[in-house]
Amino acid sequence: MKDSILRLLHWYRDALAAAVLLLIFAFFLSSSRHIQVMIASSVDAKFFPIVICTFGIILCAVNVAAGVVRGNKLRRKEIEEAIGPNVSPEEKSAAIKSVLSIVSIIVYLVLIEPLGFVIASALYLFVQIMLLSERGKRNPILYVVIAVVVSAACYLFFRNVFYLMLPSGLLPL
Amino acid sequence: MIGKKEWYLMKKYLRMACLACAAMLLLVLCACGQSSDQKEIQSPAAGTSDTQNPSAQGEEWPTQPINVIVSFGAGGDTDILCRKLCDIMSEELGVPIVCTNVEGSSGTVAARQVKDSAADGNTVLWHQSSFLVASATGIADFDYTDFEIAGVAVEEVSDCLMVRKGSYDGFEDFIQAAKDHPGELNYGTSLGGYSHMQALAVADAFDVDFNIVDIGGGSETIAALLAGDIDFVITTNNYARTYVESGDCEVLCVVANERCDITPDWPAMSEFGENCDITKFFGFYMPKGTDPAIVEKWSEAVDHAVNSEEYSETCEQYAVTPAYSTGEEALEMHNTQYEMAKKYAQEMIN
Amino acid sequence: MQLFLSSLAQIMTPMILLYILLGVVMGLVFGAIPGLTGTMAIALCLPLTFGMEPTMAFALLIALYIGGISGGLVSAILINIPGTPSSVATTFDGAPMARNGQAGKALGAGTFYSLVGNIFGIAVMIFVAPMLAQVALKFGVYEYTAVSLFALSLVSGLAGKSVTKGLVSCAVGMLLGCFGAAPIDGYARFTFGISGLEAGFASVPALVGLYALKELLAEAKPSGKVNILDVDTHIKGLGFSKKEFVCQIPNMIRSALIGAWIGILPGIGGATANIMAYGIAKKRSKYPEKFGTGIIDGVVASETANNATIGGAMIPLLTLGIPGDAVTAILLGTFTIHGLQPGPLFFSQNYDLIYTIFAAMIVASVVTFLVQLFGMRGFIKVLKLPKHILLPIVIVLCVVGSFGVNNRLFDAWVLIIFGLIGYIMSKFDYPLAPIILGFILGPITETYMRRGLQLSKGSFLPFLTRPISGVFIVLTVVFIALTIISSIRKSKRAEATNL
Repeated sequence: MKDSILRLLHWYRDALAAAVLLLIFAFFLSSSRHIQVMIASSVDAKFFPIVICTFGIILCAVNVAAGVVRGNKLRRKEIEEAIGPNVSPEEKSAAIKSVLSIVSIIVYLVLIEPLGFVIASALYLFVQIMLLSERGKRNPILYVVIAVVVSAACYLFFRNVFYLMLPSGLLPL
Repeated sequence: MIGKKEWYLMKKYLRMACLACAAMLLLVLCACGQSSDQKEIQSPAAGTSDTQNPSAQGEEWPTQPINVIVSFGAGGDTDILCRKLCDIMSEELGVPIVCTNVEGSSGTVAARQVKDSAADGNTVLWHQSSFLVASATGIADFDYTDFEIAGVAVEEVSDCLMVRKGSYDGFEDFIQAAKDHPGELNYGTSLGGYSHMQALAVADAFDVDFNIVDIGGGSETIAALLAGDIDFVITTNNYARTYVESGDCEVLCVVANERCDITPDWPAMSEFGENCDITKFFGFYMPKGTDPAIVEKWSEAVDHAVNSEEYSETCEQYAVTPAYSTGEEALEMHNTQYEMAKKYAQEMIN
Repeated sequence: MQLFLSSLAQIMTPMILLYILLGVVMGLVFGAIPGLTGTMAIALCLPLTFGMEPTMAFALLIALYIGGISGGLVSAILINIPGTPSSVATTFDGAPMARNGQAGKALGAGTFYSLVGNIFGIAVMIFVAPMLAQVALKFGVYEYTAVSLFALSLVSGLAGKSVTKGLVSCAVGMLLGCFGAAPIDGYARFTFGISGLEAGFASVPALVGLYALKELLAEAKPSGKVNILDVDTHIKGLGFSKKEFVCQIPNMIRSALIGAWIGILPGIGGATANIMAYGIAKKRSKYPEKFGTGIIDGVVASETANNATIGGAMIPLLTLGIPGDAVTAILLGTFTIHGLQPGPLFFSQNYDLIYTIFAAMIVASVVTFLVQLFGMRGFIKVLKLPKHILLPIVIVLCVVGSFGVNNRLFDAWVLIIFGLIGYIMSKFDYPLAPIILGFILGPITETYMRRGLQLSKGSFLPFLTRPISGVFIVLTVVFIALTIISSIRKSKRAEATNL
């Protein structure tokens, strides 16, 4: 069951992506109606968003169709050649790493204000470097040093030389 | 003997040198391609500010660089008038003042940013009359009462109504043309801005009707005037002077009640029988709830800087008047101008 | 000429040269770090110039300007993240070149053609400035609308394999450009109650983000790691041959002209010029299919064009007192601070200073070239750094740079939001370049079109009847028609070969 869904996803990914984009354009088309307008005329503040979204929807529809056609071809070919679904473990771990990286960046941005730039950056750098480095070749101590030194250097440099007021957070700086 | 000013300048050069070193160091580090970390810390700290205890209130303030958020882009009159002022004030306050330009929505973005920042005196807004217009039209959903007014510094009553040379025979002819062709004379402005209100004020006073179109701010309107897209602009005196001198344009009147010292030949609008009561002014604002001692200290520094020799030179360039006010007096001025803005805002939104 | 030589001699004092060197180095660093831009460096240094002699002040600011635009190519080539919006198109072929082990050649070409672009722009400025300014003045709202529409039509050339996907990307970009204050009205669109969105997405974090996150996440892929080819750090000279130089001459001239011309038109700027030049170079090339695989043509087009905008942007500033971009707006303010009155008479009244500025620009271009040339060997070593350490550091620097745009964290979020958009879109083979074109040109087109309609009281006729604008509209239509025809032909051919 899970396999067949995965295979469908694999064949029709183009069509699906286009469908999602279509929905996004549709959403913005509907919210375009609520745009506040100062000068009422035929070409007002709503005009461009509406035109863009309409075009987007048409193009996406074309892409959905093209994606379905392409998916059908792929499906026939793979069933003929009896290629099974194959998600290599490496790809799987890459996908997990990507998701974790995105999450860690988001957490990083959330933490910058409360923790301060230095602490948040150091934490993020460490986690991110650990995530990207290969398993057997990790050197956590070096990473900690790099993380702390880079974020502290960045902070001091930008704050004192360029007066870029990066959040200080918990540190009494 | 080293005076305070010399000491300050020295520190400034030190910072320059430090900047240089830091830039070089960074480049060298890049160039060496070593894992770029070990050495960076030593260089920068040599600079100026010691940033102890950011929560210091009242007496001790200021203890760290003050960030002034400028409501318009770098290089314009709003920006330069502020930067020059801050340059002078930072010498008196003894800390660096950093000007950051935050553009967008007639300065509303900048205003909101300051409104939402900590009321510790370290973030200050520099804004101008467009703020009142933006509040009046609803582009900003807050107004000056959401801030502490920390000193009005400059007034500008020297804006000029300018046309291409030879297109009208004086201001009366211009008004006559507007009366003969109602709604056909194109006026370029950025809609919802201060100059939009000025055109409405002129139209109101002489009972005429213009076709007001959006062309953008400052220099863009002049380009459009020269290109013939629009028929007239209301622009700052310093701009107008250069185009009149070059023979491209001519000024029909100064949109004010009095002539301007620097251009005594140009008639004031009041000479044609109607007054112009709107005034453009520039001032500092701090987030609501800032310690009054801090506001006062800052306002005093503004007062001194505004009245300095150095600043009056800059003001002369821009044909603006150094005019300091604060507290009740400034609030009064805001109130009257806001009422006026509200009146015209009705006409802007239709 | 004599005046020029004497001003050249005048700025050859150690102190001014030092300022130029300092400005160039700082500009290069700001340009090379994704998220930080030369414009930011200039705004930071502005207060320092108040107390200086005018000559010195302008030497410093101009050096920052030129260094800032040139620095972007380093990160564009080495880590596939454009250092500034002006070098976006440099990544298209520069980064593949680096991946193929030709980083030295790419950097050499980028550096050299930056110099060419600079000198060309400056030459245009010196010799034909007043005349060109008059032509530029003929460009009113209608003409701007037509030109931006024409630039938008170039999207089809950048679309990659599928034209419809390219157009969807462009629509996404234009939609993203609609966020924030609407042109003319000023009321915010699509803010969904988030006050940070009032002014829309800031362009620098947006454009850098589009590429930065994608690169970081590519590193998570197992295949991304094998790629540490033995980097050839021994480059002779500039890394490309005389023959290649000769082949690139038409491309170079075309790109320089595009750059200078886009620079002259106030408001469109370097971020568009490099992509336009790339798109046109690809269109005109005998081997368009090779673009994007790592050929020198792409780097030449992008880097020549973006530097040529500098000279172009100075023209309306010096001859009319009208700034073309953020940097020239700052220069305008600086003139006033130093008691100079910018405007139509500026050129004739301040001959000495103008020529000093010309001289400073040329010296700064040469210094930029030399610094980059000598730094090149070092830059390449960046490739030898383990990417799993380098890229996270780059992300932190991007966050710092984005924070610095407006001194608020919201712009760092913009970086990440655009990063996610870029990552997901490219994962599904939607090209990124059209997003950028749509994002930059969409709002410009909208603004000018609506202004034009206000002027014409709602009539579309002037867009067609005004000569310059009419020509560009026709060009746009022809361009789109040609693309459609050729794509239909191509797909027919592809079907034929499939059978």
